[in-house]
Amino acid sequence: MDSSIFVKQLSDFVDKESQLELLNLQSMAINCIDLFNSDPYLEEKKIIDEIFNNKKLTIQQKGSYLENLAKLLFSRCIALDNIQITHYDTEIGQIDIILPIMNDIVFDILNVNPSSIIIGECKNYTKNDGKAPKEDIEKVCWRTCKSGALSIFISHAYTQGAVDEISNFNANKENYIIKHKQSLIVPITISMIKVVIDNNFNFGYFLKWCCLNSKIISSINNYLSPFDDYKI
Amino acid sequence: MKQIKEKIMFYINNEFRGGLITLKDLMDYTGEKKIALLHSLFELSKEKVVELEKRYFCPNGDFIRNECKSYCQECDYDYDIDLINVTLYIEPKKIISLNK
Repeated sequence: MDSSIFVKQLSDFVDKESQLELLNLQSMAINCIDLFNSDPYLEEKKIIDEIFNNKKLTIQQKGSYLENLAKLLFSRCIALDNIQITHYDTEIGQIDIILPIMNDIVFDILNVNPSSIIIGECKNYTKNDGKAPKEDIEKVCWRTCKSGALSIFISHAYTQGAVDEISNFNANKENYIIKHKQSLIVPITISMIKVVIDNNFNFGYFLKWCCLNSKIISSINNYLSPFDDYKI
Repeated sequence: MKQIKEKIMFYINNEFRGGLITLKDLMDYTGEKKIALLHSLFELSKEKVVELEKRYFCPNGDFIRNECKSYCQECDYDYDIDLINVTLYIEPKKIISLNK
């Protein structure tokens, strides 16, 4: 798939959201642009260009760049506080980025049920053409289940097994989770992030689109391979 | 951000007459954008200087009173959740100055 299809999808979504927001100007309703900083992506642009264009980067360097990029992007949300890149085990396993919440209105804005936490994982795989394997997604399902998190997973691409696992989890979690039915796994690719940065989409709208399309079976799946014109 | 927090505290200390403060009250008083005010309010909430109360409204502007945030009693209609608006009201907890 060409990135222009994704650009069109996001543009239409942002237009629709913006029209709704215009209707609510007098009501003091809080929207994505009130929680996510819309400044130009200057630092983020440098990092994503390095990830895509610098062939000399090692796998470790790319992973580190990716984590820093995720930290910068999530720092745009003013309802998150003291975002940390972690490389240590927590009670729910090893998480790359912890996104502490200052105010849970962020869940209302993203239109997801209130979770307890947001966790982020950035993976830079070397095998399977950089695709996230099913086995890793199974761990994510367990972590998401246990913590009740909004779990954001960033990878170059996903194996079919991984995609099926995420779809199955999001579609059927109510059937086998008792405590944390609100948890959600949101898969994102690096080329989706590049589209967001290159086209200066507000990161909040992008996250909202991803959350919405992760809830609808198969909706996000079409976008989980690198775009033909955005391959690393 | 300190300056915006000071403006909010000045409003609370000098203009607040009880009840809840709206974002519009603070925007009109401080002249600041919503995102800048919210950022400072989240900090003040963390410092327990204010408490932020979430309120949901239907597309017609009716306050949604029940727990199911998509159902409006006034309209007797279950709206698509996308159409429900959320805002924050501010309740001062401490009347203090940030300069003290």
